[in-house]
Parts: sequence; structure tokens; C-alpha cells
Amino acid sequence: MHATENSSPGLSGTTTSAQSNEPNYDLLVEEAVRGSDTAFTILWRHHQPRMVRYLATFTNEPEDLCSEAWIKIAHSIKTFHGDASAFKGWIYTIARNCAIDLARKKSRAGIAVELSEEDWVGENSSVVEIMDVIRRLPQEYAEIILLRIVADLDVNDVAEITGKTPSNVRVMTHRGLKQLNEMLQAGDAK
Amino acid sequence: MSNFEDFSMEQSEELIAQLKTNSPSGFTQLHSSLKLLSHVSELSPVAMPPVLPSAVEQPIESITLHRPRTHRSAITSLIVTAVLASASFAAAGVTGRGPAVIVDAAKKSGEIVANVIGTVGNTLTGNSDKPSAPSGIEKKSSVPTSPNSSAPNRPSINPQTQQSPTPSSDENDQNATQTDSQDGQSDHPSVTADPSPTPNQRPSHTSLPTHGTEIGGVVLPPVTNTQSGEDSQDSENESD
Repeated sequence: MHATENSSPGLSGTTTSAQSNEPNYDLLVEEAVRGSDTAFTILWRHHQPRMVRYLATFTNEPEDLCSEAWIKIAHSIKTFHGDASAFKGWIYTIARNCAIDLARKKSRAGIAVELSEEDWVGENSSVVEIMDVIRRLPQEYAEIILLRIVADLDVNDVAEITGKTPSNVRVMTHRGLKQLNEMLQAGDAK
Repeated sequence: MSNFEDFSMEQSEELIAQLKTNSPSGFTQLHSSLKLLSHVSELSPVAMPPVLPSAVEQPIESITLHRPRTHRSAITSLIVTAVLASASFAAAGVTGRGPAVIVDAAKKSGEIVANVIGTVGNTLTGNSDKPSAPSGIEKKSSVPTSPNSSAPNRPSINPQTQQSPTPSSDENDQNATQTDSQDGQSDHPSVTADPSPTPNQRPSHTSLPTHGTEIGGVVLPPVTNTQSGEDSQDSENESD
């Protein structure tokens, strides 16, 4: 991928590794921190769908919440230091904080977060079924599974985001998967 | 399908690793479900984020949302101090009380502001060409002061002649002359001329048009103005 529209000379032609079409996310993050809109947009296109799916465990308006998170990311991206892996953990931390803030507001207002069929428009029906099952898991399990499976974060990153120890994350992942499998076996998915 | 009863923590980690490598897993249903979950369709290449870093330049918002409380307190204190200082300064200029330096500065500032307001107001309302006198007082006519002005087409009228229609013009002139000598400031700079110029100020005044103001070739009838600033402006023009 060549970011020809970018004004930053360092990005063009170097965002792709020689062997594959996978962008060089480390370089993209570096350029985005320097203020490159193109790099930021590429990163957004890559992470946004996964973030929406992750945020669906918190709210029935995950896209709105995701937009709010990305606005905050854009505001503070110049303060970020780290590589692509750290960036991923950072943006999910921001997204999670947005979700927690929203949950607090709704809690004060007495609004319960419930997903309806309309909230899943655009998603594959199989994915909708699985998400429906995952949302029936305890919140902590659901969140950790989504962070590990959907966001593709490793144990240490998830531990940092959720404020738990890595071993705790492993245990909760295991328990969550076990419960998820039981629910799938029992045909709990509608 | 493997038995999930003895599903260990290591196996759950293996299951997650197999999702990334597309390796088959013993837990078929869970594996396929998680595989579906992990697959995310890419966004359209034309999709754009809600905001770009280059568009994030909102200092007011950053003050209200992101600045620490101490910064906000400092900024608020600065604003309040500035407002109070401005008010004190204006009060010193109006009342004349306070340290002499501040009072003088305030008065001068007030005069400058008044001049600017008068100029702008005249420009906007067009009163620079048509000065409006208070009722009962005629305005003095403006006199072209520069020898290079567009005066040649105007009729040459003696200043004494143009003063005669106004009975109170002498008083007005005296007031105007006094005001000129007092402050030299002008509220309406480009409106009128001094009807009683000194010879050295206006050496060729008898040949210059002194009657009315020309707008687009049309000469307006003379008017008088007792506002002191107009005369001073005229003096300035004459000195040019």
C-alpha cells in the first residue's frame, strides 16, 4: 500500500513490507503521531471495525461510542509514544474509558444497555448470533474474550487495559471460553 | 470433538493461537464461532475517520476539557484581572480620579477612541459629506484646503459671504476657534472648515471654493457645524 496522498515523505512507499501487503503499522503509528492524516486514516480503517465489535459489549450504539473514542484519539495522538502494539493497547484503553463513562452516565440516568436486532445491521447473521451469546457471558469474560479474539491483543496488553494481572486474564479467558462453549453446545444462540 | 470437561487453560490458549494460524482445533464449534468473531470486514477505502489530527485545533475546547484545574484557574484569574484593569482605567478617564499618569493616559485613550468612533461613524453613515448639525445650529461649510484638491470647478465664494446667512455663525466660529486652540482634537475630522482662517493658513482662500462639499461633481449647500473637532480637522487639512 502506498500512501500517495500523504504529504509526509516518510510514509509514501514505506508503509508496506516487501513481502506482503500488510502495512507497516509501526511506521504508520510513527507518522500519525507526527501529524499525518493519511497514516491516521489508515490506522482508523484498520482498527475501527474491531473496536466497534468490542464496544458492542458495552452499548447498543457502538459506532457512536467508537467515533467518540477516535475523536479523543485524534486529540491526544501527538502525546503517544510507542509502536503499533502499544498503540493498539492505547486506543482500546481510550475506547474502554469512553464505554465506562457512557455506562456511568446511563447508570445515573437509569438506562439499561440492551441490544436489539436493529443494532446489528450490517453484521453477518452468524456473528450476530455469537455476539448475542457473548453478551450473555459475565461482562468481564465477554470483554476479555473480545479483546483477545477480536482486538487480537495479547495477554499482557489485555491485562494492562483491564487492570488485571496476566494470569488473571488467562484464567478469565479460559473460564469465558468454557462458558461460551457450553452455551453454544446447549444451542443458546438464537 | 474434544471433551470440554477437561479443557485446560493451556488448551484455551492454544485455541486462541490456532485462530491466528488457521490451524484446525479439536473444539470445532467454539473454534468456528471464534473464527467468525475474529474475522472483521475491512472498511471502504474512502471511509474517513470522524476527525483528523490536522483538524484538532480547538484551544477553547482544550481549555475547558483537557487543561488541569490549575491552568483553568490561572486563565480565569487573568481574564478577571484584565477586565478589572480595563474598568478601572476607563473609570479613571471618566472621573478624573486616580494617579495622574493613569488619568492622563485614560483621557488620551478616550480621546483617541472617540476620534476613531467618530471617523468610523461618519464613514459608515456618510456624514462626512453631509454633516448633521444639532437643531438650531447650522453647520459650517467645508472648505477645500489643498491647492491640489478637485476644487477648480467649484464656484469661488468669499467666506464672509457664506457666513452671513447664519446669524449665530460668529458665535459658532468663536466656539470652534476656541476649541481648536484648546485641544486640537476632532470628533468629526473631515466635515467642515474653519470659517475664520488666518491669512497665513489660507493664503489663496479667496480664489478657492469654500461653499459646500462636492460629491460626484455635485456641490452640496453649505452647512455649519459647531462641533469643535471639525474645525480642527480643517486646520489639519489646511496645514497640508
